[in-house]
Amino acid sequence: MLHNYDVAADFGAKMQTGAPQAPRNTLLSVDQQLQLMNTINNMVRASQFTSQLANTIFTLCAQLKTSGSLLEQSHKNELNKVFTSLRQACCRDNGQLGTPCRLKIMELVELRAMNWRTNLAHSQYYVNRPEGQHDPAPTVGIPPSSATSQSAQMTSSVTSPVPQSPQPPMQFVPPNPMMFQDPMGGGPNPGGIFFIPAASTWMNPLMPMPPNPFLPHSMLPPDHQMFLRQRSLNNKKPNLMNKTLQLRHEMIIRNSDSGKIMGVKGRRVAAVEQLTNTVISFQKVDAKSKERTLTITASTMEDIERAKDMIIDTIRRNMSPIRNDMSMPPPMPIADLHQPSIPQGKSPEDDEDEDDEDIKLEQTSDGKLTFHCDDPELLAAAQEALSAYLRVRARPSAEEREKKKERRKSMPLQQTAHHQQEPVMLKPSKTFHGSTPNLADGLAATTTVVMATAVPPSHVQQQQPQQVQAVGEPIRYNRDSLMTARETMRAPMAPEMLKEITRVAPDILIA
Amino acid sequence: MTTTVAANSAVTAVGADGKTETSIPPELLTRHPLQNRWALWYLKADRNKEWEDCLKMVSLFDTVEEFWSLYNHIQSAGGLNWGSDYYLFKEGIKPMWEDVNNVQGGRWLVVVDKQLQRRTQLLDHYWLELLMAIVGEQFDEFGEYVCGAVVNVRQKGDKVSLWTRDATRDDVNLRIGQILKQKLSIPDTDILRYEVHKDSSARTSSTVKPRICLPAKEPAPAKDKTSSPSTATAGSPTPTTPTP
Repeated sequence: MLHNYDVAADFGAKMQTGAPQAPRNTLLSVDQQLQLMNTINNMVRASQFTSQLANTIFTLCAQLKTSGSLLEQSHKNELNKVFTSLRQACCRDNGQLGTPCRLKIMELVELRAMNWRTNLAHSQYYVNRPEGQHDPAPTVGIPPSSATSQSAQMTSSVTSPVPQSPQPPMQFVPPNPMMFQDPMGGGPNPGGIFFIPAASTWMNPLMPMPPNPFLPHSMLPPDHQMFLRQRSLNNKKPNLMNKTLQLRHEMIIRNSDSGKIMGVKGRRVAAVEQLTNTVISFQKVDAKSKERTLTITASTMEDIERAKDMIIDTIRRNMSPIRNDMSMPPPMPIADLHQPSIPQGKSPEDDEDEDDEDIKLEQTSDGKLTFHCDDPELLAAAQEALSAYLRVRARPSAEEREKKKERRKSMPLQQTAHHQQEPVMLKPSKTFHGSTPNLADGLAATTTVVMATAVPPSHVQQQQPQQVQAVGEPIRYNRDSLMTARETMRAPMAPEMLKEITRVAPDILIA
Repeated sequence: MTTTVAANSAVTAVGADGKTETSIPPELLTRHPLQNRWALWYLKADRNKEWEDCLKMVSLFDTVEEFWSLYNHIQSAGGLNWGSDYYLFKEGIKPMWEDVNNVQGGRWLVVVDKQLQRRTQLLDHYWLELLMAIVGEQFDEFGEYVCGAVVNVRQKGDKVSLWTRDATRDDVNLRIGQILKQKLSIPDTDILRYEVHKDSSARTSSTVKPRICLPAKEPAPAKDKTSSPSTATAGSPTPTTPTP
């Protein structure tokens, strides 16, 4: 009730904008504010996350809401300093400051980012925070400093009526979900699972904080020059019945490293998933995006940790993880041409070593690829996969092109071999696409031949007159030179062109 | 604490990227002119509109770079809706029979079997190869006879065709057809047909008798001509000299 009154009163005060006589709008002097800042700086530096700090932050926040834009001009350095301190406080705090205080800081940081001009969405968000409204903690430990500061706090109490200084240091659930990532880590609730109700974080079971296993890892050596940021979320599904707990962890990698961890056709990441018993999914991002979020899902923290380490290691080494039970795959005899001949549903492990498989792949000198296999189904699948691959090679989709680029980056050694294979073209023939029914017949279908011929050499011959181009000779480009131009081109569409197409035929544009 | 680390690494990441951006090889910045300026047209099927109103010129280009930036950013032929067409014609030539450059002409027609499972892939392959061949002036000394290329996306069977200027020049069209067959890697089992536009516009049945076939059918084209009076009118025995 008191709270409701506060809100109303505050709005009222805001309406009549210039109402300096209102006692709750009492402003501290600039010097007093600077003093508050100093106190915060010192306390944060000394890691004194006490109720006094919380109160000081509260007071300052309330003040800055009014005086921020002024101080921005007159005391920018001091502001910068205290904001650094506030951010550090947020990072280092283990919950002592309390959620209202954190919210206050957040509100302030955002407000400053908006040049001290608030907007409706911003104010409403903080007004409507349930944390601020159902704050159960009584007012304690108000600094003896001044009554004015207290009234200033009252002003700020739109979002959180009373400055919080929790006496038991763990009174508040830290809003940081990282704290919940290890429900197995102990805690009073018997199921070992603790989940946050979406509506409120205030059903607080005073649980001791499990050590955060991610903190040490986030201190990656800077010289690592890898861009990793991580955040852990515990599964919010209230799946208490299900014993197989699913943990989710997010990590951010450089988008340009995506290929390194994905590997060709996702084989690397599949290996990591298999070895660590996790599921790793890649956020869909724009090609231009600088970073990309990976989500690791597993049932134990250890698996997530192992997956994370393996991902980091895989990116760093740019090599597939080494399996304990298996030596490195043998060097591929015909570049990467046979790689995609993976029948669906097979584990990636098997594909690494095709000698172990019952499909035999041969390339003859005249460019024929021959599959041998006892299992007609497997053969059909392999054939299908290879033809799918050749189709893509004949005219790669945008996605494939992107992948190919990534692959080149991640496999520089294969580039030359790969290049020789480049002009593979599709030669439609009966054996090529129409033979699946025959394959099912069984015994007869032990061998199938796929024609993969190189581009007819006439291309090259036609290229020659171009070099000695006569004056009247038209400007020619053969297929290879055009394709090369395409590979090296990464420029987006010219804006005029884009504009015109958007106007005339927006439906043919690829997003 | 995570935030701090992230911010730091973000800085290094940006720094690294900045480095790569400065080292763009110069060949990426140069432009390669094409012999001709080309116009891409798009026809979106709409039964409620006149055919000509459905036809829109999408873009004009005359460099290799523009060609790719257009091609790479638009829907592939196989991805178009049924009834849609793409046309790539030289600037100034409308993609229709009535255009003065086409009225005497005809087309080499490639039909993509609708029953093929990889129909769209094959269609995309044919279309891209044909585009590269025409913008790259791959038709020997007969580039002047080429007007443009068409792809029709149809449920009953997609079509890719190369339009030429003069239907009466069998020698020219045969050579163009041979190059087309080779560029698109069309197997001998698929027969290419050269159809005269006049025949197509005056057709009464769903098929048009082709003037040339590749590979030639059992009855040679010459013999074919004498045996059918209808084609003889279109491909008159006295070939008019084509306007250059």
